[in-house]
Order: sequence, then structure tokens, then C-alpha cells
Amino acid sequence: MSAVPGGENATLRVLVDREACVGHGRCYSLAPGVFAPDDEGFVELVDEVVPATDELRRQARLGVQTCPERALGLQEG
Amino acid sequence: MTATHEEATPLSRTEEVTAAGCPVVDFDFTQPRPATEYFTVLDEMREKSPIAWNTFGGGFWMLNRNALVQEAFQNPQLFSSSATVPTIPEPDYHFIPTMENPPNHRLYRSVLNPQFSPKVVAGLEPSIRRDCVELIESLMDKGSVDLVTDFAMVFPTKVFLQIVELPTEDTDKFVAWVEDAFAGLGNPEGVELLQRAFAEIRAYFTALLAELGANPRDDFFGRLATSNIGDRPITDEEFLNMSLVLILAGLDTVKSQLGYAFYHLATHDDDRQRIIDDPSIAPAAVEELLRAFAIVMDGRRVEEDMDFHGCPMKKGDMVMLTLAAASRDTLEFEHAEKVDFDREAVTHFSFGSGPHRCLGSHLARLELTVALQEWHKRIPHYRLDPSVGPDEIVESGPQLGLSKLPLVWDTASVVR
Repeated sequence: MSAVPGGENATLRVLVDREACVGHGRCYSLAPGVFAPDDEGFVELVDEVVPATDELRRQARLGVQTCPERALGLQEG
Repeated sequence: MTATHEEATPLSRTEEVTAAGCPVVDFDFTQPRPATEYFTVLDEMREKSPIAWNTFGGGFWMLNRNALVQEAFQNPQLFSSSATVPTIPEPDYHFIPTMENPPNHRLYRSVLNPQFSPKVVAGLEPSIRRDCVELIESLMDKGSVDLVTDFAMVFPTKVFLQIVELPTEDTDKFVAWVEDAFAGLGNPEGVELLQRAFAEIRAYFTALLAELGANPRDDFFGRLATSNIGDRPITDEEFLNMSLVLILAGLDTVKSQLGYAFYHLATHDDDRQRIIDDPSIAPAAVEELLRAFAIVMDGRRVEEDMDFHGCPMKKGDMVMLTLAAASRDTLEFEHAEKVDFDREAVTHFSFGSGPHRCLGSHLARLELTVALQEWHKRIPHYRLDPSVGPDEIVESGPQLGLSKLPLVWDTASVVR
């Protein structure tokens, strides 16, 4: 897996609003490299900082985008 | 609502709403309509009226756009679950955890969530697949079925009984209770059936509770019976209430969703062919079919007087969260009213949103995925029974579901 062109030096961090997460599970179903369920089905992060690979960055964005509660966000830099 | 509120309702309320510039509709969701027509009717209503006052029943608001439904789901202090059927503002029943509100709601969900978690559900997949295959194999030489009664109702019931470790011989009994209960939902003529079904379910679980007391077990209901709600043990009444809710919420919903999925696939050969060619697209297909056919007309009760996006809502008003309209919102999706298995990011309200997000959503997704995969491996080509007129397959609310789905196929085409 190669680094993201242009953005390979920036760190990508996933932000989780734990109050807003209700356990839909779209993130960890569609992006299991970045998100994981806890024992009740609420979101956990595989890594606090998303490893700088194309695939995991793609997954992070997809997971954030599909959260029905908008409980997830991304922070770059 | 209080008596005085009730007397003042029909005309003055409509006038008041009209004066505020809010659309008024007369939408009767109980009338049977041909298959999928309600979705089209609600699509039209959404485009004309993001919010509407519906004069049907005792009068209630309808939220028809995605963002409005989401706002209501995420603000339970304004839109409470103390009443969830739009025509019943003062219910004489209380379902747990469905009609609980924060913070108590969370205590009940903490007990239930771990038993329906994605990890637990994933572990059940082999047995769910086995049940599904067994049922399909028992049907495939017939060449015709009513998919709703012969498959869609039986499969989730069998799965449920397996998971909770109750005797699968009880399948027929549970199927009949659920049919009777939903026959009475929103339909005065069915009330007696509903009441009898509730009484029988209660008697069944009362006997189970006594049995669990005498011989404790580490299975689903054994764990529920000995669980703690916050810092105190669950009461017998709570156990019986939650058991009833699990049955009502988990069986008829999957049945109805399967009905729409197979109706779509029987009438859209290209989409069906894609599942036949590549069963790995089934999870994406399921998600899109859930979006296109959100069956529940959910309800919430307004908890304080407020101006909601220009509409004068009053404490005690009922609000329908029109999940079907909101999940097909043209402001959210390209060609929102079409089924498209290639959407990358599908969101919808078939499992609701906010704190009451469907407890069984992980299980339901798996059941639907397995059903599409295993059915099409064995019975790839089928169609609506041509002897049944299109108007004979009907649906009505507040929980949409096809009355029947007669399918036929050439038995020479089944795959063994």
C-alpha cells in the first residue's frame, strides 16, 4: 500500500463523539481497518491516528461519511 | 391530550396551522394500496410538504425530509418516545425499551445491546445460514410459494427461536401470535386478535420465567431474567414486557422487509441477476433495499410548545417520522426514488436513528443478506404469479408490509 499523494506527511485523526454514537455499526462494517465495535456495538478506533495508507485513509473517510448520527469527524495535520 | 384540548382540535388546529403557512394534508395510512404505492405517494408528499399537519385520526404532524426526521430522532427531550404510534397520543400500554426515554432508556439497552451486538450476531451466522438453506430446500420443488407466509415469516421466527434457545417446535405458535398482533395494529377490527395474542405471549413467558426460576439457565432469557436494570434486579413485569417487545419488534419487521426485497427482485431482472452473479454484493443490496423500502411509520410525542421550522407544535401533539419519505429524500441522494446497488454511502432510517436505533439491526442485516444469497443460489429465476392481479398484492401502515407475494418458477431451473 502506498502513501497518499500530497497528503502523506499530514496525520489523519478520527474524532468520535461518544455521546452521539448509538451503535448503527456502519463505520466498522464498511471500514473495519479503522473502526471496530465494542461489546455493545458502539464504536472503537483501531488506531487513534489513521495509518498513512491509501486504503485506510479511504476507509476512514467512508466510515465518517456513512455515520447516520454524524458522530464521526476527521482532523488533518 | 386533555379533554379540552381534544374538543378544540379539528377545525381550529387546522386553521392555526394554515395561518402559520404550514401545509395541511389528509393522509390515511390505513387504507390498503397496491404494492409500493405508499412509497410513491409519500415521495410526492415530501417534495410538496417537508412538514405537514395531517388531519387524519386525531391530527398529527408529519416530518417528511431526511434532516427533519434526523433532528427529531436526535432530540428525545423535545420528541419523546412516550407515544410512538401517530394516532395514539395517550397509549394505555408501555413497551420497554421502545417507549422509555433517556436516561432510563439507556439502562435497558445496556442489558440488551450485548446480546445483539455485532460480535454475537456474527457468531450466529452458521446457524442462521443452516436454517435458511433448510427452509429454501423445503420450498424449491414446489415451483410456487407465497413468499410472505411460506418464507419471510417463518425464517426470522426460526432464527429467533434458535438464538434465544426456545424450542423450534414453537415456530408456528409464534408466527400466529405475531400475525394476530399486527392484524390489530392500527385496525380496530383486529383489536380482539391483538389482545388474545398479547395474553398468550404473556402466558408463555410467565411459564418460562417460572421454569427459569426453578432451573436457572445461561441462555438468552435466563440471562435476561437475572439481569440488573441500573443497580437493581429486573422485575417480573419488566421481563414479561421486554419479552413481548422482542417478539413484536423482531419478527414482523424482517418479514415485511423480505417481502419488499423479493418483490423488487421479482420485478427487476437486472438487479436479481447481479445477486445471482455475485452473492458478495448482497450486503450492499440489502442496505439499498432497506433505504428504498423503509417500512415503519414511526411516531414521537411533542414535549413542549415550540416553533419547529416555522410550524406551531404544541406539547402533546403527535408527530409521524415518515421514514419512507425521508430515506428517499431527493436532497440527500441522486435518483433517490430508484433502487441502485452501486451507491457507495447509503444511509437510511429503516432502523431509526438516535438512542432508539433498532436493537436488532445487526441481526436483521445478516438475516436479509443470508436470505438473498441462499435463495438466489438455489432459486435464481422466479416471477410474480401471473394469475394474481397487481392490485391483489396490497400494503398499509403504520407498518408497511405486503399482504402476500405469490411467486412462481420453473422447477427445472432450481440449483441443487
